[in-house]
Amino acid sequence: MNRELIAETVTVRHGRAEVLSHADFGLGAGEVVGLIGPNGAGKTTLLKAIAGVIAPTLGTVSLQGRALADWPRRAYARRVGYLAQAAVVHWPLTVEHLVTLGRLPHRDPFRGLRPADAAAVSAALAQVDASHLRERVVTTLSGGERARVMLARVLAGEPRFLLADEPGTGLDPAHQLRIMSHLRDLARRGCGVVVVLHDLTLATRFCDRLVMLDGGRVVADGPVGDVLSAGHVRSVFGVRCVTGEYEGEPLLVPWAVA
Amino acid sequence: MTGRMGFFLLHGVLLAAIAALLAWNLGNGYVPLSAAEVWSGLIGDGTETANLIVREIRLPRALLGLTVGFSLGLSGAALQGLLRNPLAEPGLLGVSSMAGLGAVVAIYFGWAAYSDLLLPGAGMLGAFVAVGILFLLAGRETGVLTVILAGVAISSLAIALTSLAMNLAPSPWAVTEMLFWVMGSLKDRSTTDLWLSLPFMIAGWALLLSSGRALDALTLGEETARSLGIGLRGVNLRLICGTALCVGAGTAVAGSIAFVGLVVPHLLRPLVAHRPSRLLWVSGLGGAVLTMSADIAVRSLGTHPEMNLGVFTAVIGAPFFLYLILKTRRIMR
Repeated sequence: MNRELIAETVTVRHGRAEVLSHADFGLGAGEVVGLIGPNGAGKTTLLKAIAGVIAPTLGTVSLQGRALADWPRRAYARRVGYLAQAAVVHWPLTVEHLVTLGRLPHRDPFRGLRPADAAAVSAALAQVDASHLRERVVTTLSGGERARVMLARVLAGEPRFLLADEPGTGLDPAHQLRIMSHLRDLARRGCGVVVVLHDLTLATRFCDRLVMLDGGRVVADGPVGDVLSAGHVRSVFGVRCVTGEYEGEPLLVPWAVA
Repeated sequence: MTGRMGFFLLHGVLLAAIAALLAWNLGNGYVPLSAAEVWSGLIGDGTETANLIVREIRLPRALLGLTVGFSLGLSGAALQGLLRNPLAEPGLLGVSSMAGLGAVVAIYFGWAAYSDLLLPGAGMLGAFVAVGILFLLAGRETGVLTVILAGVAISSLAIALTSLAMNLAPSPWAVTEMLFWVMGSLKDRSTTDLWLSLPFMIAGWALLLSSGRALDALTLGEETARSLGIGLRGVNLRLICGTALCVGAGTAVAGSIAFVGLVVPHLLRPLVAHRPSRLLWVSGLGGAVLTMSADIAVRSLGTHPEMNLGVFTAVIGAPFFLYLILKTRRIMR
C-alpha cells in the first residue's frame, strides 16, 4: 500500500510532559486504520498532529511527499478532513448551514456558494442518510442524528483522507454500527480513513489495520489479528478477550480484567 | 426570516430606518427649522444660521450616531463570534474604558487646550494601549478565557485610573469634562470629530467585515476551525485590532456608550439563522439604528440637563444584560 499521509517520529510535549513520543504513522487511500490504546495513550494527540490542529514539538507530518508546513493551509484542509471528538456547535445553526461549513476550504474568499458546493453538501447529507434533517436546527437533533450530521460536515469537504476521533462515542449500538459502516463505505470509494476507537469489537470488525499506542508510544502497527493478540491486549489494556469469528468476520470481545 | 429574501428584507428595513433617523436628526433640534431651511442649510445654500446649525451641529451628530453605532454593533457581533459567547461586547476587552481613560488623562493634564485633535487622539491612543496590554497579558495564547480575563483586568485598571484622575482633578470644570467621556454623548460634536474618527473606523470595519468566514468556522470550535484551513492567530489579530480601531475611534469622539454591542447582535441573531458572518453587517446597521434612536430619545426626554447617551444606553442595557445572564446561565455553567 502506497502511504500518502505520513507522520514521522512525531513528538508532542505539553510543558514538560511528553504526551506523544517519536510516533510513526502512515495512511494510504482506501484503507481504514484504527488508532487504539488506553486513555492517555496519545491517540487524539497523534490525530490532531496529523490534522495540523497542533504543531508537533519534534518530527514531521507530510502529505504526498510534501511537509505539512509547506502546504497552504486551505489546500491541506481540502485534502485532509478532521472530525473532532465530541464535536461542538456553538450557535444553533441549521443542519444545512452546518454542513456547508465543510466547504470552507474550497470556497473563494470573495465568492458565494457555487453549484458545486451545494451539490457536495447534498451528496454528503445523502451519504449519511440525513437529507431529511437539512432544515432542522442542529441543537434539536438526537445524539445519533447529530453524529451523522457532523460526519456529513467533514464529507462535504470531499477529503482524500478523513481523520475521525471517536465518532461513535455516546451512541447506541445501532448508531455506532451505522457510523462505522459509513466510514467503511468511504474507504471502499477510495478515501483513506483513520479513526480513534475505544471499542475493540468495532475496531476488530471494521478496520483493515490497527495502530496501538500506549504511554505516548506506538507499540504495535499491523493487521488487526497481529495487533490485537492476546498478549498485546493483556499488557496494554489489562484485559482478557474472547476471540472468534461470526458470519465470516473476526470477533473480539473484552471479557475480564486480567 | 432566514432565507436570501429575508436577509435582503432585513437589510432594507434597517437601511430605511437609518435613512428615517438621519432625516429626523437633521430636521429636529432646539432651533425650529422648516424642511426647506434644513435642505438649503444642508447644501450650504441657506442663511448663515441655518447652514451652521445643519452642517456643523446636526449633521455631525447624526453621522457620528451612525458611525459610532455601526462600530459598536459590528464589533459586538464580531467579538461574540470570536469568543463564542453571547455576553461578549467591546467593553469586555477594556477598549472602551481605556479610550475613555485616554481622554480623561488629556483633560487632566490640560492637553485638550492645545489642539482639537489632542483629546480624541489621546482616546485612540488609550484604545491601542488596551490592545497592547491585551497582547502582553494574553501572550501567544489564543484561548478565549485568557482574552476575557485580560480584558477584565484592563477594564479594572482603566476604571481605577479614571477614578484617580477625577479624584485629583485640578478643577470642577475638569471633572465635568471627564464625566462627559465616562458617560458618553454625541452632543456638541463637530465635523472635525467625524473626520478624525472616520478613517480609523473604516479601517476597523474592513478588518471585522473580512472575518466572516473565520467566525463561521469558529462555530465548530478552534480545533475544527484550524482543520478547515483558518489561521487563528491572524483571525484573532484582525478582530482585536479591528475592534480597537473602530471602538477606540468611536469612544475617542463620543465617550463610552455601553451595551449597544451586546443588545444588537443578540436581537438580530435569530433573524440571520445564527450565522456569525451574516450577523456582522446587520449588527452594524442595527447598532446605528439603536444609537441614533437612543440619541433622539435623550433629546426628546426633555431632562435638564440633557441625559447623556451613554447613561441612557447603560440604564436600558444593564437590565438586558442581567436578563441575558439569567437566560444563558444554564449553558454557561
